Amino acid sequence: MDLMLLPSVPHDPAPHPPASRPLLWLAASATAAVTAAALGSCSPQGEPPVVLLIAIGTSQDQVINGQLHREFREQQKRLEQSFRQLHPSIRFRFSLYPEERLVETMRRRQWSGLEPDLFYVTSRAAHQLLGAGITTPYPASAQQGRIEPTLLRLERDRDGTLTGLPVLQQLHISCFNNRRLPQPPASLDALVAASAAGAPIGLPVNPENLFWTLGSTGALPAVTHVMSGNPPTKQDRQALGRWLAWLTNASNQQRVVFYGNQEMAEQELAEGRLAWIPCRSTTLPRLRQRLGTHLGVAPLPDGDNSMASPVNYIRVMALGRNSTPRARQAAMAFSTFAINPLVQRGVTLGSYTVLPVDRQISMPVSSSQTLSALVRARDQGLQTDQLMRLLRSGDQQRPAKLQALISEVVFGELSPEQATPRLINLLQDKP
Amino acid sequence: MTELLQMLTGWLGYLERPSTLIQLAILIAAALISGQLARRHPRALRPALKIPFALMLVALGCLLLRLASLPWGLTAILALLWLGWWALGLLPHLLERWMPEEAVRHLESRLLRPAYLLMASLVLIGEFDNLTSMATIPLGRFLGVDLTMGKLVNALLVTYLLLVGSQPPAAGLAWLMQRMLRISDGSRRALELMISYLVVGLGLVTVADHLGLNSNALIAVAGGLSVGLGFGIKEVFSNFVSGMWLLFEGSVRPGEVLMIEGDPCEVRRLGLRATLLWRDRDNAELLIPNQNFFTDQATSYTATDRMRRSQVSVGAAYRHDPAAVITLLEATALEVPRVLRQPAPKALLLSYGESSLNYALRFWIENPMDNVGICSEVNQAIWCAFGREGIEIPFPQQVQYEMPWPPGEPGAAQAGKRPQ
Repeated sequence: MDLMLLPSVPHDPAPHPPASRPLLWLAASATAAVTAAALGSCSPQGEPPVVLLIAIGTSQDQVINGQLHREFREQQKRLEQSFRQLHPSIRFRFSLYPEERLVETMRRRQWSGLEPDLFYVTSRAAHQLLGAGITTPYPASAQQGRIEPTLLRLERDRDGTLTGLPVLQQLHISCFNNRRLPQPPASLDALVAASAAGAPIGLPVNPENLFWTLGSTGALPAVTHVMSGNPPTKQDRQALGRWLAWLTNASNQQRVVFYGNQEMAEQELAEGRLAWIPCRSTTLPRLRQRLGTHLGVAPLPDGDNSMASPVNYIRVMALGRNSTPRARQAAMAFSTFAINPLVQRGVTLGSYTVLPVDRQISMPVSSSQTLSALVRARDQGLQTDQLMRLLRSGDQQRPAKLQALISEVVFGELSPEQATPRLINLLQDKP
Repeated sequence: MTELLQMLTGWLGYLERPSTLIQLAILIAAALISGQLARRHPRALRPALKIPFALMLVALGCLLLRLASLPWGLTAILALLWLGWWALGLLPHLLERWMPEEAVRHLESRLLRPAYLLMASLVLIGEFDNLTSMATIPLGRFLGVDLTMGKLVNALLVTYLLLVGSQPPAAGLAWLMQRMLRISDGSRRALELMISYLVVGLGLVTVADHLGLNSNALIAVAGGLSVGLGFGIKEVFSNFVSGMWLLFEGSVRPGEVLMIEGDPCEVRRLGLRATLLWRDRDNAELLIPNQNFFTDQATSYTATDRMRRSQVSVGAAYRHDPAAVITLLEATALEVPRVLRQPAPKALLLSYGESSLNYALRFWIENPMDNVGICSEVNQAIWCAFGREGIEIPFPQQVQYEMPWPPGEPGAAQAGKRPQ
């Protein structure tokens, strides 16, 4: 046992400790006893245990509640069980944190030296954490060669350092109730037609969950062009106007409802009041639990001449800055284990909610409609890489401003013509 | 529950970090140094200044850590919490200027210190973990409900606040009702208790509803409890029901004066199990199970009004005219300030005694608890009035003489002396 890990209990030279400080002595003794007990429960190999503290980031769409906790717990358990066969002395303790406040929370924790050892977050959060000095660059290793180069490139900072190790991909797809909508719409026109035929459709106003329509309406190149700092061309204006016009048209449909909150839309679908919504692949277990075999999964509808452009999340593992050498070693071992081909395949086929980052793993898409939809969403999402990179580097308030503008458009307060110049200003990061 | 334990042991992982150990060591060292200094050199560091001095040392430690670019937030937070705890000890002295000592003591021990401990725990836990995430940790199923840590803590907190905090609003509402309905002080106190019980009862139902407890399951538990009540805690339940009954009936309420073993006692508090009474004679507080009042006879001086008829006895010599004595007694009673004018005092010739005519002077007083003091005042007034008017208070005379024993033998006088 590594006795150096025990906290030092101060020695009092007085023969009898004074009665005025029993609490102090009690606290010190209790700390020592608990630490000794915890460290005493060594692994079978005799190595002292290491507790790996993991922070898991949750997106705006996810509400931290018992169900989400259970879902993550089960995912973690699956990984932990296999991992501990190789490293029995490593234990895990995870906590959920909303990603939009992660940097702020961790800055405060860093002040006390109490930040986690490992972060399991989205690519964007990993960039923010590294930028804020909360995480440390992920070192290069041979195993990284197996990772899809596009994903790895996305995870690199401007100076080429790796913000975190890509582990899994969470996809943006469409979920539908096959009792109300037997066939999922394959195009935007089909989506509007389905609503006209009586199927209630739910759409988000959150930009990240609505960016897929940029690709379908052919406006994605215009957005990236303007965001890159180029002056908007006539084609750009037309394309952006087309996107806004489609949103206005959709909101004018009787059975298309825009939701400010993704959870609310999922709830409506689960209760059978909606027929179709865009959804994140991570919500499939929850929806499947409610809808059973009536839950249908499909890729997001393309446009006439262009593909949908969903924003997929890449989950990465980033290293905390304040870990002990043993905890750092454990974090590295765990993250490397997570990209092991067997583990990647096992996690994918065990959950049907994520895709591997290992480019050599092929998915049995013909045997599963869900996997097929996930793979299609991955391919669709490749075109949004530049968009996400541009969003990350610009004004951090831009998504919120975009959401406000989209809300004004879908609620009819702004016409597409009025909204287009404002959208261009926003994309150009102009006040 | 397993996850809760895992969480607690998980936090121990922070103790492996040198930066955490250094921060804790600074705090412990500051406490030890200041403690030693105050004990060994009390002139240099007075015990009262021990904690401020320790906190100054901690601040110095934080500064050094910061200069060394090491984390220092944990030390600072712990020091601030320590400072708050110390300051909390000073607060009662300040509050005692405006509030009664007992109220301040209750406020401190039941609300301020527990609230501070809770706040401090939350602040500390917030440094180790995410409170929202912790709240979702499952603890198991209870009466068909998935109990999470957040739900349990909330339920316990609300219940505690209800039990501790329902008193002041209930007192305020009862006071308002007294003003509006012109009810007596006793009724106001009874109303206060009833409102308090009602708030606690409704609060508990709301907590159960918030937890999502199944009402059928609650009924089943209540059924099971009733069997338990029949055997195990019959007395407790009996006392509780008796207390509630007495409260509604209004026979034993705070402020009532009851005769307990011949002494007037004032009801101070009607508790769930027992009633607390105050006895003036020796300033004792009596804790009597509620069911005693429910089953035994009790004498009350305050059931319909608070007046008490009291009486003193006195003897006057046979030679005085009883009518004059009676008039004098009644007039004397009226001279005592705390004797009520109406109903008027009444003197009676009760009997022909061996050495005197025995009179009783009956009079009314406002507060039954003042009886002994007023009787003393009346007796003093009678003594003065009789002296002034030349009325003799006769008493039997004892005459001691020596009796020869055996009778007729002169020498037997000493030996035959008998005690008188």
